[in-house]
Amino acid sequence: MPKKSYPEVPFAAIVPCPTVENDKMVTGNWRSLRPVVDMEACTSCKTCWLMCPDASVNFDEAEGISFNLKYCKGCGICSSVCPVEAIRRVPELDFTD
Amino acid sequence: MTTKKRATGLTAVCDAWQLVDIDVTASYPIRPYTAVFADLAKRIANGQMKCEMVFAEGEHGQFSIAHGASMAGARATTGSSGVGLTYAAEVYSPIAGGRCPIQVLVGDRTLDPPGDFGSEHTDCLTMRDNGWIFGWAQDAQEALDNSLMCFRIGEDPDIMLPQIVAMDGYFVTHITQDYEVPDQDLVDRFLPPFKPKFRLDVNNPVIMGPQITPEMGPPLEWDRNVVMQRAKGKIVEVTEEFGSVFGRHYAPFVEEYMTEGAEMVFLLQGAHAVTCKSAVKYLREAGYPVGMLRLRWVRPFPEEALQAIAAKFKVIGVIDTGTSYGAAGGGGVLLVETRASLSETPDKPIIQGFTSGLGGEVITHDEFFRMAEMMRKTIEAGQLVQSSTWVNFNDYV
Amino acid sequence: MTLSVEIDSKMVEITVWTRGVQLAKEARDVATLLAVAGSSEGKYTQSFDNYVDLPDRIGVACKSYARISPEPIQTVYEYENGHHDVIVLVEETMIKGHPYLQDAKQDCVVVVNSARDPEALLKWFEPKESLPLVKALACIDANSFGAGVMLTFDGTEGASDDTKIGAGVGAAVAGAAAKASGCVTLESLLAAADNKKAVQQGWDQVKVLPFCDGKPFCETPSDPQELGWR
Repeated sequence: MPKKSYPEVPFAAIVPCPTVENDKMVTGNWRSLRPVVDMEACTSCKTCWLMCPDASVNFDEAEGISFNLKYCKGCGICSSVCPVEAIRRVPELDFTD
Repeated sequence: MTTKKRATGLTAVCDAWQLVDIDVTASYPIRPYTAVFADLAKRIANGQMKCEMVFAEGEHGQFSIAHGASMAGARATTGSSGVGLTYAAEVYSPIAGGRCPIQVLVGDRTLDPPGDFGSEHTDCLTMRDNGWIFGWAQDAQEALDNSLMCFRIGEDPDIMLPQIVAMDGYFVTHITQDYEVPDQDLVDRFLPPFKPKFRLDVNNPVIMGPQITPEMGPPLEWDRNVVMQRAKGKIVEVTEEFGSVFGRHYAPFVEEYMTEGAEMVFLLQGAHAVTCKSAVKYLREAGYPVGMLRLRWVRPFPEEALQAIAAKFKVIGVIDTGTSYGAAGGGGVLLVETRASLSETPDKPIIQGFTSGLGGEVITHDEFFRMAEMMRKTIEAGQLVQSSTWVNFNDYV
Repeated sequence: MTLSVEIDSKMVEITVWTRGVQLAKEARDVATLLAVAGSSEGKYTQSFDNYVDLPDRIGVACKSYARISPEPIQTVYEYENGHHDVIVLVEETMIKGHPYLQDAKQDCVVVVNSARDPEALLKWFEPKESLPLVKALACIDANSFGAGVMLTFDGTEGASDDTKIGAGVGAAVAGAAAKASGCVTLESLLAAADNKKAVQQGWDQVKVLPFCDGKPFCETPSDPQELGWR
C-alpha cells in the first residue's frame, strides 16, 4: 500500500485572502428551503438585502432583488423580515436545478 | 457489583469523579475534553453529585481555582486540552511545589498552529518537568481506573502531588466503548476521604506558598525530587491494591504484549496501543518476531521497569505521537526518555524513533506494518539505520 | 511492501448524513439504534459522530456512523467509515450537492427520508458514474408519522446521552434502513428504540427501488434481507 501523501502547504500556512467571495467555503448546499421573491409584491425596500447575514441577497436597480444561490444557506431571515411577505421559502427539490 | 456502561472516556472519568465525591471543580470549554463538564453539570443539577462547579475565565483561572480549593482542603479537579493546558503554564509548578493533589483530566489536542482538534501528546508532555504525576489511558475503562488510582497515589500523605489523567482526544474522549463502573463500596474501601495535614483554616492559620529566602528553595526542590522518586514505589503498591479490590490487574509501569520471543518491540502509550496490538497479531502471523510495550506512566518515568526487560529485545521502536523540536535524536519526548533510561544498560537494544499519529491521525495497520519492516531492516544492519523516522515523511522503506 | 491483509472485511458500515443542529440528534439515533440492535444480535458494533463536521452550525452537512461486524472490530479508533454499505440521508435535500456516494461499496443501499418516491429522486442522485455501485434506493416519509424531531445537544462531544434513543423521526428512518439493507432484524431494532411504533412504520412503509448495473427498475428481489452479510 502506498505511503500517505500530504498536500503542499504554503509557508506558515499563510494563504491569500478572498476579496469578493470565499470560494473555499461554498455553503449553498446547506440550504433545504430556497427563497423565492414575488416581484409584483416586492417594493425594493432592500430590508432583505440589509439583513442577510451572508450577504447573499443582491439588489440591482434594473433587476431588483435576487439571491446568491451559491452561498445562500436558506436561513429564512430575508423571508421573515420582508414587510410585505414577498419572499416564500420553497423546498429545494421542487426545483429542477 | 459493577454496572456495565457504554459511554466515552470522558463519561468514565466523570463516573470516577462521582464515585470519589469531588468537592470542587473548575470549568472552561475547549474541545475535545469539554463535554466532561456538560456531564458533570448535568449530574450536579440532577442531585447525583454534590460538587461546587466554578466557571473560570480561562484555563489559568481553572487551575488556580482548583489550586485554591485544594489549599482549603477540598478534593478539587479540573481539566483541559491542547493550548488550554499551555495557557495554564504558570501554575503547574506552584501547584506541585505547594503539594496540592488536584486531579486534571486531559483530552489531548494538537498545539496550535493551526488549530487542529486531533490528538497529540505534546500538550501534556510540555509540562512534564513541573512535578506532576501523569500517564495515558488507552480506553475508557483505563481512564476510569487511572483516575481512581491517581487520587489514591496523589493524595497519599507520603506523596501529596497533583496528577494528570491523560487520554487521546477523540479516540478515547468521543468514541463510545464498553466499560464497568465499580461499586461505591469498593471505591470507599480503596480511597479514603481527603484529609490533608495542612489546609487554609481560620482556626489554625497557616501561610501556603509564602515568599521564601533563596536558601529555602533548593531543599524544597530536593523534597519534590524525593517524593517523585518515592511515587514509583507507591505506584506499584497502589496498582496491586487496585487489582485486589477491583479485580482488574494492570502492569504497574509497562504493559507487555506478545513480547515472548520478540526481537523487536513497539514502545508507545495511549489509544494507538489498541490498534498496535491488533497490528502485532497480524505481524506475528506473518512471521515478524514483534511485540509491544505500553507505557502507563511518563512521570515518574519508569526507567527501572524498562531496564529490567530491555535486554530481551534487539530493537525498540519508540512511537511518539507528538513533537519536541530540536530534541536529541530528532524525535519526540518518549524517544529521549527511553534512550536516557537505557543508556547505561548492558546489552541494551538499538533504539529508534518513529513519529506517527500527528494531528490526531489514525496510525493505520499499514503504518505499523511499515514500521515493523523498518525495525527488521535495523536488525539486519545490526545498527541504527535512521535515528528518527517521521512516518510518511522520511520513511526508509 | 510487507503484509497485505484484509482487516475488518466483514464489517457493515452505515453512514448517516444529516443537517447540523435540527436533525443531528435524529441521525445519531439512527446510528445508535442500528449499532445497539446489532449488539443484541451478538455482533460487534460501534457508533459515533463525525469529529470534523463541527455540527453546531444550523444546516451544515454532518455525519454519524454505525459499524456492525460478526468479528471483533480491529480498527476501533477511526474517524469515519472507509467504505459505505448503507447510506442514509435524514433530510431529502441532501441528495443533491453532497458526496454521499464517494467511497460507497459495491451493492450499497441508499435510504432517504422523503415524502417523494424513489423514482422522483432519481434525477438528483449523483454522481452518475457511481450509480453502478448502488443496489437499491429507498424512501421513507418519516416526518409524516408524527414522531417529531428531538432537538438536543445531549450525547454530543463525548458526554452521555440521557434523552431517549429513537423517540423521534430517527426511529422510523432506522426501521426503513434496516428493512432496505437487511443489516439488523426488526426484533432487535424494536427492542432498542423508544418509539417502537415509528420503527414498525418505517419498516412497513419504506419504498425500495432496486437497481441493476446502475439502472433502476429491475426485478424486485423477493426479500431485501438477501442483501445480507458480506
